[in-house]
Amino acid sequence: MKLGYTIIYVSHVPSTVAFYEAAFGLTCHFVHESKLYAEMETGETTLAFAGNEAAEMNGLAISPNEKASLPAGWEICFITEDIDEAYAKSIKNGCSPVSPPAEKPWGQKVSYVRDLNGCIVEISTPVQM
Amino acid sequence: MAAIPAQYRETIVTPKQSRNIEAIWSYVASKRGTTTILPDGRCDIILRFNINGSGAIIPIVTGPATHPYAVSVSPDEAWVGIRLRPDQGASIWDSDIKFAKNKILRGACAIDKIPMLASVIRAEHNIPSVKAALVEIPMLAQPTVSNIETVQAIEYIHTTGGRLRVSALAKFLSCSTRQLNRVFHTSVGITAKPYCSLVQFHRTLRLIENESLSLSETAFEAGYADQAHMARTVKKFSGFAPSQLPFDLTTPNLFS
Repeated sequence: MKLGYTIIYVSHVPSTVAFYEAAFGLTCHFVHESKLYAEMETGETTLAFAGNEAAEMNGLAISPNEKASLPAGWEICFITEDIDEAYAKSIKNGCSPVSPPAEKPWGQKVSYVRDLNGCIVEISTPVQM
Repeated sequence: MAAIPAQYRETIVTPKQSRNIEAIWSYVASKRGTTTILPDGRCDIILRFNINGSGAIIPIVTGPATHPYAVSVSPDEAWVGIRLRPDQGASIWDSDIKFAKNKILRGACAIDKIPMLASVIRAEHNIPSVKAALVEIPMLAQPTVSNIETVQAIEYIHTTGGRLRVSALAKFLSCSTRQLNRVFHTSVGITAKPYCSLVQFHRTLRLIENESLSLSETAFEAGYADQAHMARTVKKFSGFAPSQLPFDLTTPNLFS
């Protein structure tokens, strides 16, 4: 099976879309008229946002993503060569810092921030094989 | 002339190697003075001796600490210690673990508690010899079997950075807050809440050490209500304000 989507449930989809456009330079390529679903342009696997109300409509019960709470135990990871610039841009546009770019033993530079909903976002350089 | 930094060395013992030792550490001060030992809720077996060979090797056994200690140190003195995993306090204290909080036994009292220390203090006055003698203590080879709830709870507390309320923790573990505190008290020697606070505090120290987050960003990421809350907690557990932590404060690596 292919990984088609990563969908994050958020309290306000339009704000999240705007946030990801500003903080990470992503482009939005679809917003549903209900404003409860939107997709970003991220290549083969789509990053999407769904409103919390959509969860209930889907028959799901979830733990909402809240900035002030303990983050959920998963992350999305963006890969870029310009990690310092990308990290600075994300902080400048509202991400809360967790750890700035740091070189790991395997040669990758890794950083972590949290988005407006408290979700963990990793910004890292490509892994050299 | 550049100051030689104090040397705190640590070997983390992985879970596979030992189910009761968390780390074997040594410390030599770079200059005469006082250093702060931070509380971490764990029990240690420590030996203190003069590198020149003079004097006796002094054994020290500690219960889980919940406040900092100021200790006088000098460059001709070495400290060697074994830090037990948090749920293994009872392997030293047995049922007395309930009363061991912030206790320190020195010399004869320490040997009373762990008779094998009598032969450890006959080791040669150098770090490798003392370490080798310390790890021979038979009780360390047989970890006390931990209650599965305690082990899981400790893991959850570390994963959540000490940010989860004890009631939420108990829910995760399908037990009551009271049961959780009881098993904690009988194996760690302190209840779950102070343990959470200590884990949160140590994570905060790491964030501050990182030096790239402002204090208010640190308070936020660490999960404190606000910067004042963080400052009170850091002061309580270290004796220092967050902005005045000594750069050479020894921060151990704590794992679940």
